[in-house]
Amino acid sequence: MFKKALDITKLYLKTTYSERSVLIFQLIMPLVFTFLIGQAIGGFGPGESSSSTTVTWTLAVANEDVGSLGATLMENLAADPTLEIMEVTGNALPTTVENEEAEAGLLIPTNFSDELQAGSSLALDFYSDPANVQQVQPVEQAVLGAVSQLTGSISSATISRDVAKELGLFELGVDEAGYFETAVATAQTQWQNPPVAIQVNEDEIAVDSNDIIPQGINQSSPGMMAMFATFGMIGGAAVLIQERQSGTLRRLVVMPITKGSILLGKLLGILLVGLVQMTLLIVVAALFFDVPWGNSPVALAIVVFAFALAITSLSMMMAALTKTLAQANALGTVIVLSISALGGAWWPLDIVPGWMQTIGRFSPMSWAMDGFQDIITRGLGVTAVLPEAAVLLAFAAVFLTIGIWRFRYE
Amino acid sequence: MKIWTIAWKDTLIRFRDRNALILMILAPLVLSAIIGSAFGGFINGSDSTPFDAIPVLVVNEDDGVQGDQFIEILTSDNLTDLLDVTETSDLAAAREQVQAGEARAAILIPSSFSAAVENGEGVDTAVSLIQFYADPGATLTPNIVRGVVTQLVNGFNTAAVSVDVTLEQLTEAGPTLGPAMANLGTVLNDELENQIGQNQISISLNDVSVGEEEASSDLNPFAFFAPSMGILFLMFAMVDGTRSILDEQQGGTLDRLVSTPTSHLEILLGKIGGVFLSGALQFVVFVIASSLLFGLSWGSSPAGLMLMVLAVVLAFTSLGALVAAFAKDANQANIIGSVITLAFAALGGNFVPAQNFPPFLEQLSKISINRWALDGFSDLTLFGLGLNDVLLEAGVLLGLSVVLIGLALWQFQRRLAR
Repeated sequence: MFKKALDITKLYLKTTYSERSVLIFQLIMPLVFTFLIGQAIGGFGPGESSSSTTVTWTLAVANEDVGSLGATLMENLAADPTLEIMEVTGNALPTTVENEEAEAGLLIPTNFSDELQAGSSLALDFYSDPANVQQVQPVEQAVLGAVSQLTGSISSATISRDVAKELGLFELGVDEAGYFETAVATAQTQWQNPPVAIQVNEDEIAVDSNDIIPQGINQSSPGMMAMFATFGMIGGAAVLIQERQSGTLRRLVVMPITKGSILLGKLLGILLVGLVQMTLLIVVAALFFDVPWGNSPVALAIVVFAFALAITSLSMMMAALTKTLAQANALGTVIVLSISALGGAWWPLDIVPGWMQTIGRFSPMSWAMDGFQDIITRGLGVTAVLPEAAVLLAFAAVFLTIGIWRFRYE
Repeated sequence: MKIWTIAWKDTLIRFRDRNALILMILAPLVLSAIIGSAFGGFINGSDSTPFDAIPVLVVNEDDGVQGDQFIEILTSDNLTDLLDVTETSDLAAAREQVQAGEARAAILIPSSFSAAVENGEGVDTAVSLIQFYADPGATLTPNIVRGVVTQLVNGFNTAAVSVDVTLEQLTEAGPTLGPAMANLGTVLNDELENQIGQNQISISLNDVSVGEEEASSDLNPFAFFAPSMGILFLMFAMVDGTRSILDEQQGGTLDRLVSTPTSHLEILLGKIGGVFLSGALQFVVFVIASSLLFGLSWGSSPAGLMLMVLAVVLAFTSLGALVAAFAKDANQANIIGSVITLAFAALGGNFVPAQNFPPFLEQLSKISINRWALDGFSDLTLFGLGLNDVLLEAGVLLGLSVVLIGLALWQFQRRLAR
């Protein structure tokens, strides 16, 4: 029985790989998507890979403040390594941003120091082109950082001044404004070395090159691989349906070969095509896109195999539950795209609301992606991916059971 | 007249095909719903936090009051929606949990914390470091936690710095103040209590938009992704529709039409017109369905919307016709069509906005019809612009259509004449 099944498998592989387009759809397209989507959500590539940590943004600043705090804010802004400060006049500010000479513009108004010394809050005009949201956000964060440092200093200076006032210092001929200015300056120096600081540790990532490789490609490479492998394997369902429609299956059934061997042979074929595709994609991504596929090939193999098994079974279920080729193609497209989007192949599930993450759990894709992330980003090994692999195998069992139960040969 | 008959008949056939409808209408709606929900905004408005509370572990090694206070603030009511804080004493276990992705971050309050906050005497004091361990597999949530912790630490620092500054300045002014110095401690404590954490002054940023595109009041990703999915599946349908002309040629039905007293040009225009008509209908249905289901506004300019729909459908029809005209057979047309569709979709920004690309790719994306289509629809749905603002995009698409359809008709006629 097994030998005959293998014959069917061989035949399936032969037909699949004799198709001219197989190279395009199984390898080239996923790589194009990996590259483009990786570019959009992370940015990498020749000449840029190392600069990702030292990207600077130009901020146009117009300091019209008549007091001294505007200058202090400018110092804080200039101290931010991600910002390049370009001093302009208030009138030139909007055009500077509009002509894209700067990513954003900040106006420090004439009454800036006065208002802050009086203890009032105020809003600074921050100029940006909404079409460049992506570039503007980091600039805005940097400005807010510089601003919060200043407000911290001012708060401290205000307390110092109020205490002095309470004690009656300014009635003894000491200049209040001068006192406040000194207080701000002292606080600024202290803030450069505050008593408490935060040390951020990206917990030991076993993959050493991780800090120069942005998130982009590490997400898009497994994501697009999973999606296009699914497309490829679901295509196997189409072959089964086509053979049923054309009567090939019926003819096979009357031959001296059991139904079980036919199905086993086909499924083995689908599984192998998927495994070959994913292996090639992993190798190419590692070689050309520097995707760090972890340090446990065994763990990677486990996830890939369990995922391929789950999708092969899904393919079997599709073949059983759809009647015509057109129906399978239409539903197949919708299902593959949906489980990819829900399962985190397009973007990390980390960024979607909790209830969407819960729904995503029903997509085998999400478990595979979890496994890939354990391997790529966390650098974990076999034990870490066993739960994901187990869930994928459970998916496979359910899909396969339904598929075999409902499959018709004619 | 004959052109219309052929076109209308083909359109009817297409709209009676349930499988075609799944791809034409259902697929873009389902994917729009998924993407819309993923990035929040359209189901319950956008006011609620888009996350479940983020699991965070805290290890407090500090014996003083400040460490306890830190945890008290971290677990206070106004942060419970955002953070799900668990206190633990085992740092190694906490870090393991973070690395395994079970918690998004671990925070260690060191034993020196209270001392540093309370006697922060000048810059040479030993600095106390709060250790922050982030989940390397998560992208966004650790940053949120870090933001909260940074704010908290800022509060403690402000208090410490305030004490320092006040003491330094007033000690200097001591001789001037004389006996009033005796009250320094009490007054300082009062002021600290009054001011820290209370209405502190704040400087906020007031966003001013520059450039042609006005930020609309609700800049939701859904307004970008719904048109995007509509366009993507329109493209699939148009390329598939024009390819079916080759199916008919191979199946012989086209020959039967040719044998009737109808000119080749009429037949072709009828066939291609049918694809165009069903595409226009498909998109109109999608517009209506998405505005009913998701409450998506397709902009305030019906004329602009109509122009864009026509231009986009025509451009994809022409592209499909060109592919079909020059392909060897239906199978080849299918492959070339799929490749162009996928490549254009990825490059043109159907999956991630092309504005996110680095400059060279952003420029390159303009060779795709999809980029112009997306730009035009974004102007309408996302930025609320009108007819005048989509004239450029529509003009480019229409110009392109004329060239493509011209080439396609020329080649198709040679094909039929053979």
